[in-house]
Amino acid sequence: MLRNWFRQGTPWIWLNAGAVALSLLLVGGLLAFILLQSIGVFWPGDMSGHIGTKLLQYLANWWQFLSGSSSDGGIFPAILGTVLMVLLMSVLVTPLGVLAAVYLHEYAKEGPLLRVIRVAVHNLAGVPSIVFGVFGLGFFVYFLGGSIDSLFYRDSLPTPTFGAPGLLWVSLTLALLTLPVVIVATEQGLAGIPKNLRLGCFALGATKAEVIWKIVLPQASPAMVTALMLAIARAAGEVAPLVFVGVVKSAPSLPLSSEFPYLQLQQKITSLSMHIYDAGLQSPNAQLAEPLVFASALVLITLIFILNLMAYRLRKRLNSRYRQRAVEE
Amino acid sequence: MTAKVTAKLEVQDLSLKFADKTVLQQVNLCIPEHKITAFIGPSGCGKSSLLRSFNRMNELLEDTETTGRVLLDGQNIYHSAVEVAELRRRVGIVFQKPNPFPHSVYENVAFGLRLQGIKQTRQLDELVESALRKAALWEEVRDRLHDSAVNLSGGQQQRLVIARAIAIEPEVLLLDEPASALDPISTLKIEELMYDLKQHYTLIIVTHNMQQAARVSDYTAFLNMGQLIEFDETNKMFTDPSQRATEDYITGRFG
Repeated sequence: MLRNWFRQGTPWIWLNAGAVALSLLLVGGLLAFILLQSIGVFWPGDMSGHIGTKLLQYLANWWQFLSGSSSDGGIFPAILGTVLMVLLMSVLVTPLGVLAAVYLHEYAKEGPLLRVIRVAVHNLAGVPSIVFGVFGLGFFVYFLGGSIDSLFYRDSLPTPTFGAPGLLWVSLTLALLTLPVVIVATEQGLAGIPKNLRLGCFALGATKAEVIWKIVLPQASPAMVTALMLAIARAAGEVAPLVFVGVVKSAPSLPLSSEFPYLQLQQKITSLSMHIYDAGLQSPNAQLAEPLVFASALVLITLIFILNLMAYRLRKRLNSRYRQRAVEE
Repeated sequence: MTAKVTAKLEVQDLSLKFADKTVLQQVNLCIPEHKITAFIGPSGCGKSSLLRSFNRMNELLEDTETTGRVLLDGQNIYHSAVEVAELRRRVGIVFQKPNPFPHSVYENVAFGLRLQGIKQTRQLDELVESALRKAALWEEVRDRLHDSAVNLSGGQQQRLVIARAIAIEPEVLLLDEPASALDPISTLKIEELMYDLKQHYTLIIVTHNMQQAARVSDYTAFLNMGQLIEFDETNKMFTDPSQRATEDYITGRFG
């Protein structure tokens, strides 16, 4: 009886289902906890009056929190900083990662060297992020930034322009940090393209470059979006490595300007993750700050959710445009 | 066969290896122009590899080594100065499984034309229509040219792939078991189509189906174990083969 129970795999199924349930519970619990902790933060409890006016005040308080500068207790600079660093990172990492993946998968010859490179790329994903921060400071800020300064900003030396931590170096460090993710996911996308599509393209007199441009890359574009989604989620949460290269708890001014290119790449920025860390641990009055920490966490989660939603919709559009259906065997 | 026959393709001492495994040995053969030539033989005899060596498709597979020559209109296609992409434009191929691109019907046919640098919409429209007409598919798809090609039936997909191949006006069309994944009615349509196409193109078909070879082809080559056993007019081959092995295979005694 018991033996049969085991042979049917019943305990196994329960174990599996239990793992799923536990995961759901933990993730759901986390989201619910943050939501519950932060939802009431801005409720005007001390105000008397109609529920409608209270609700209006509640929304106004949220708006004040989201759009205010840090001196007003708002997190707008942190939201802007996170969005800018993540977008700039995407612009940097996507072409680099895709080009690298195309080379590795389409052009490089199978052999010991390629295997070593693949292992190296996979291992890069396992390097602790703080190491990237130290590298970013040493290589990007001091070496690259210092070189740029001595070449183009001679006049303002010894005050550094790019030779100091700033937005550009934050994004570059993040790009490096997420590069292996993009390469690996894109390569998997390339490997998933049916061989007969490639052959069909070659058969029409296409060169290898044409096959890659017209068939391979469009077909792999949903995989690239997936890769970018993973990269963004990872990047938006980083704090420690970015402290080295330009994320501070309170930036002196926004990294924007009214003139082309509208971005102050050398500016220090602040990010939501940094704000959460700072408000949560460095604040003199932890009791008072705690609700704001949860509110910031909610904003960060929502932001990542929105970015993912955008990527998801893009992927869906690409997918239906280059629809795959396995041809009948 | 009273008409004068000229050779479109001449195979001279062609040998082919896949990773040290010999696939073709010293094949010598002349493919006549504007005729249908069938390659028959048991599985693994090298007939598909021989077919793919006519537009250097074998090179896309790993570790292949070709020796010998294949002359297309007297020019060796394995010469180092030959542009492989241009060769494949002149010698098209259709595979066993239909492989339409996941684009619209129209874009599938226009694909090769665009590769050739044709951009004008009017010219593309005309060439797409004429290719679809030649492939006997126009009437079925004229109202859904901009629907996805993967929604067509298997037989329609295969005719679409043929239309795609003939849109760029190849001189030779290679067909690698083009009907083996199709139902009998679609197969019949493909066979009728081949009959029409040989006015303009030189066709070579690989088939497992003896009746099909006998029905559609003018010439037949029998291969076994990487060697060409016999090559002759289809009528003679199926009634009075000169080799014992051919007779055994055709009558079903082996293979």
